[in-house]
Amino acid sequence: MGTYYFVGSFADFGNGTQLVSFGQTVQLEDQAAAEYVAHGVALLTEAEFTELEFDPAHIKKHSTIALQENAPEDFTAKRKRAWEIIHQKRTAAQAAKGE
Amino acid sequence: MSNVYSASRLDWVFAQAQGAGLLRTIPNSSGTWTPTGSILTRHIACSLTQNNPVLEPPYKTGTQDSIAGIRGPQSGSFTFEAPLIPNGTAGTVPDLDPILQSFFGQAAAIVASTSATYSFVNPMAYLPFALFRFNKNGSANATHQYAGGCIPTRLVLNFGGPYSTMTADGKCVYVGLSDQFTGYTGNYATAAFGLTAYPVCPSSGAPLTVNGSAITGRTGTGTFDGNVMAELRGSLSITLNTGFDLAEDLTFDQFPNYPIGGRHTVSIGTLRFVDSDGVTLANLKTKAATKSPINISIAVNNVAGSTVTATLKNVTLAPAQIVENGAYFDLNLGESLAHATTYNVVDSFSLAFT
Repeated sequence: MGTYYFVGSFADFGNGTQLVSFGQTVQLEDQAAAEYVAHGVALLTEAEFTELEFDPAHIKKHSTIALQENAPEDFTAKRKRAWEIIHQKRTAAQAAKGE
Repeated sequence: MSNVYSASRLDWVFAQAQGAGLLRTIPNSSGTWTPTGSILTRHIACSLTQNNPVLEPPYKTGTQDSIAGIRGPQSGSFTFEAPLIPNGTAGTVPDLDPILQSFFGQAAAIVASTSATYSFVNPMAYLPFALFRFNKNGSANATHQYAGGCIPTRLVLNFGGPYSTMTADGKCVYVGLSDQFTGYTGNYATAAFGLTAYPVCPSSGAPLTVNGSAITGRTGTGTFDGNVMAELRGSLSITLNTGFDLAEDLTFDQFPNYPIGGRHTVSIGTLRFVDSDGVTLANLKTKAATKSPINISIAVNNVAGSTVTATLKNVTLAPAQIVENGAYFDLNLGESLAHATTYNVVDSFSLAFT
């Protein structure tokens, strides 16, 4: 079980868990988190998220896509890096499955 | 005991890519459906239609009446309407991916953290998908459906309304029903798509997950011949006809097979502009008259990860009509076709999620 950080816009796991804000945390088994990432959910591990050094004020101010429209470069650049990590993780997961 | 009636809102529909060349196989492990890779779709309406005609006897009976006929060739069709929802993370395909990639014949091209772009492939490839509808009325005896071997024929994208939406239509090999599944044997075994048990609705895990926020159809940019046209009004639609077909008259087979592609067309319609003497609008009037092709780009929403952009190339505009609309005169353009930029390429249309 680990803490995962959501860096997408919205995800609903269908079990009562909804991820509705950027930077929202969720507790998941690592295997489950890997499956969710492969399925399109943007989840970073705590270490991955921490390393990006998002400004907590930015996370709070730009927590939804509607609030990210005019987000500062510092935030959007780190968000872009977060999505690159997501892409790498998903590509690796698909390669592991032979897709 | 009273009947449990089927409420149309109490359903879940999952979409799943079957894999290239696997028209008659639903992903399974030793006959048990493999839901991994299926995606719960947020949809508006979904109709799965089983075509199971009766062949009336052509011979005389000695009376004015005829006798009962026999079961005819089997096939199916589908109509699926859904909000067009991006993933929310740029560089990640939307939940509608199994359906969208089937329209284009290939997976989206991914640029990490930037875009997922669907475009045609040449020669056309066929990526069948399956739709699973689970009746959620709570009854153990509810009828569930699946449509296997879906081949899309028409995609309509609607922009400019409260929500951006898409409607997908197509043919399929067959629409199976849960309460008829045990009869899918012998000459009708194809209807089981390799399954030995009716699929069980996923109750947990990744297939139940939905991604992305619904986006309004009323923010964005319409670019015509290089000019952003703020005068564009109302909703507009983009229609993609794949030209796909299934051979439904095979001599010794009850089910269709062998998808093939004809000419595909992409058009943009119901374009309306507030008429004016503006230079950019005059340019469109001229292009509509001379049929000089233009490029059109419709970008909806403007937030990274949640933007949808439809790009049509070499559009020859339908005749421009000046039409009264209340206090305004509007410039209306009818259904206008997009075209490839040259021979031997298929670049008339692309759909990007950025």
